Amino acid sequence: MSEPTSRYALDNINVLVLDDNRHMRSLVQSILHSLGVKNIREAADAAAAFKELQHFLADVLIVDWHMEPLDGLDFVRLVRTAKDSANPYVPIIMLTGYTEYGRVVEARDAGVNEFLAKPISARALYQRFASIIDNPRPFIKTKSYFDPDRRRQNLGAPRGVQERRKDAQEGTGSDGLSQSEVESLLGG
Amino acid sequence: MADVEFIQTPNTLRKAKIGSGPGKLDKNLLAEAEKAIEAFGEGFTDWIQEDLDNMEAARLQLSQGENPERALADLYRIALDLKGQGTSFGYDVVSAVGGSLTDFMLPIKEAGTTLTPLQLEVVTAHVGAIRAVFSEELKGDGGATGQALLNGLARIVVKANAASAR
Repeated sequence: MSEPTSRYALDNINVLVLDDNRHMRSLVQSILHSLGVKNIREAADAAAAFKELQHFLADVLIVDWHMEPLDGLDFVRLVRTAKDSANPYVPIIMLTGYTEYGRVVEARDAGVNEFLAKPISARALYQRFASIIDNPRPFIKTKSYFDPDRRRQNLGAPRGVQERRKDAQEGTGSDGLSQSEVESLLGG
Repeated sequence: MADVEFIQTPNTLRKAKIGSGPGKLDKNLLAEAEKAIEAFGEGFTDWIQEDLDNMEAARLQLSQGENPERALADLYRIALDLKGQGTSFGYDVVSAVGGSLTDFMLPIKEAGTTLTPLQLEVVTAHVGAIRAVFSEELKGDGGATGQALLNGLARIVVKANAASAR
């Protein structure tokens, strides 16, 4: 198999980082700078991020989950469905320490494109960008649903996930999913 | 099927790719980014101090029954942050202790119940363990001391959960 000849050029994309922890924001910014991203804005809460998006044309959002008063999921829903949302289709990477089955499904259903489990690594973040760039997804809109289409690779959940789904339904088990299991759930 | 609409959005990220087909991750950029994480992590033990102080303050509030809902939420948030940061900066045991504490606290937080004395002991033990990791500089998997800490925490978590289930 021949080596890929194409490459990523992140120097001309705009990224908004939303995290209430200033150290995490700085860390993500440092990684993004090193990967070549030049245009980065940051916000410490969902309201500020939503306001920022009214005049900053973000190509990708990196959003932490656990925040107050609005959490990351509330923010994703706002971006996807609010009438005054500047870009309901913008790709969103959810950054979080939550990797339990039920939580990943919740994030998926809120309209998250990619899920990046903490602790983050440079490679994992780079790969999430590559996935978003290589696999642009159409959106599906129904009366009750407005999300990136996940049918492209509907292979079903891997065995480990099926077992966790059963645990979640029965209210037992809290083990986090691996990144590959998360990706399978997201259909990426 | 007028009820379902497929919306093909413009690919605004085409500008971020040179060439076609799956791209190749640039190893040099990755190495730079790993170095950036490493450099950032050099200050970890300093800037984490504020979180540790806030964690201790929240634990104290819980022990005194002072604004327990707020204190529990603060403690949970800090534990979740520690879980997410430790391994990035070479402190795997901090991530493990943070993970153990968030797993333990989540059902209590979601149920909105107050901590029993035994549950408070579990929280106190976790906070103490995180402080010990930094004071003893237990980097990586923490060696025998780190593993003993984690095993000890696992035992008291089992004990507290069994007591709560009774």
